[in-house]
Amino acid sequence: MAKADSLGQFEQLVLTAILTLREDAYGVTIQAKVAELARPRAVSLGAVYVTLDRLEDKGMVTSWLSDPTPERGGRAKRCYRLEALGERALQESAVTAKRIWDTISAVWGKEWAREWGKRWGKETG
Amino acid sequence: MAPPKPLEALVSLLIPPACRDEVLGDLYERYTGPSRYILDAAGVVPLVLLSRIRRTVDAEILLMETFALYLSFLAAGRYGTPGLLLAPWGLVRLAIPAAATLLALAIADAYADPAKSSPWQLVRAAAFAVACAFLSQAVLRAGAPEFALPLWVMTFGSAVSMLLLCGLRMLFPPLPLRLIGGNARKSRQDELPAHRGTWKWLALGGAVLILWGSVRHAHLVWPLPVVMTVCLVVFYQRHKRGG
Repeated sequence: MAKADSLGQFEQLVLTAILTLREDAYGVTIQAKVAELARPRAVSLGAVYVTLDRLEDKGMVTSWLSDPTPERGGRAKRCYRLEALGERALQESAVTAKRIWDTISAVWGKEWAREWGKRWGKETG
Repeated sequence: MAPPKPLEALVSLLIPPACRDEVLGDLYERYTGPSRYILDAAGVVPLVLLSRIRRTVDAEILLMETFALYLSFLAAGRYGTPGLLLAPWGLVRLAIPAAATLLALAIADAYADPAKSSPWQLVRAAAFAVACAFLSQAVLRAGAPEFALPLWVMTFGSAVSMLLLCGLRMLFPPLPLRLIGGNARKSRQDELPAHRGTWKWLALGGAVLILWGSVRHAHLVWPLPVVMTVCLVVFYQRHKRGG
């Protein structure tokens, strides 16, 4: 299997959104999910499109056009799904993020980690 | 709620055809009012265009086109107005139409419709790009005439550019302008037969030789771009017929 490239933070968010949305992963829903994951940062639809194109070129996701729907003015939607390379890259990113969190917690203490996690949860609503 | 038809039609024109349907559909789905629609479109269109340009531009082909264009104008300047190369900002003046042509070519390829691809599309895009070079000169004449080129240099340089661009684009067509659906775009090397990589380096080497020759012996070298183009067209025809 090809080696997975390392992912940028925004790419991780987009892949996570596609993973959670499953069959319903297309532009609008992916942007909404990424905005939810990245709060309080604002996320634009254009940035999501650029990232989806880049991930598709890397082979981490594939896309297909669905049937047109009246809710979209009779236009199709481009749906996305994770490929094996994308799943692997996302897993590696999650493991790295967990290692960073554990290391920081070890240095600054578990009590700090607990309080910081609570405060961050409140600030982001 | 639906966006007004004229507004939607305007936004539709600005979005590259390869991704027009899904982007318009997404904007339609998010529609809550005209001002929000315009803001959404203003945020989406430039990024979608840039992404499309990134997907349709091949760095190696771009480098060859850059060489071909700049050499054409260098040769025209060297042959038509010999003092131009040594004049203040002379090399920069000759680079301006080449840069304008390259930019227009990138935009033309981004806006090409994958469903309507034809050999004439290659020529049309090259012609559009050369026309944009003339437009850039018209703007310079109005705003900064010291950077504009003499008409003879523009005409000769553009004619040779057009020939070289058409030849290069026939031999090394732009990346497939197909809708990316179900398959990630393959690398350029996957798409081209192995011998084309060799031809690229030969073309690049030939361009360097012509650059050196045109600076030192313009009167001997200027027909070479025409000869090169003829060779490229002959090669393309033979390759098309499987020769």
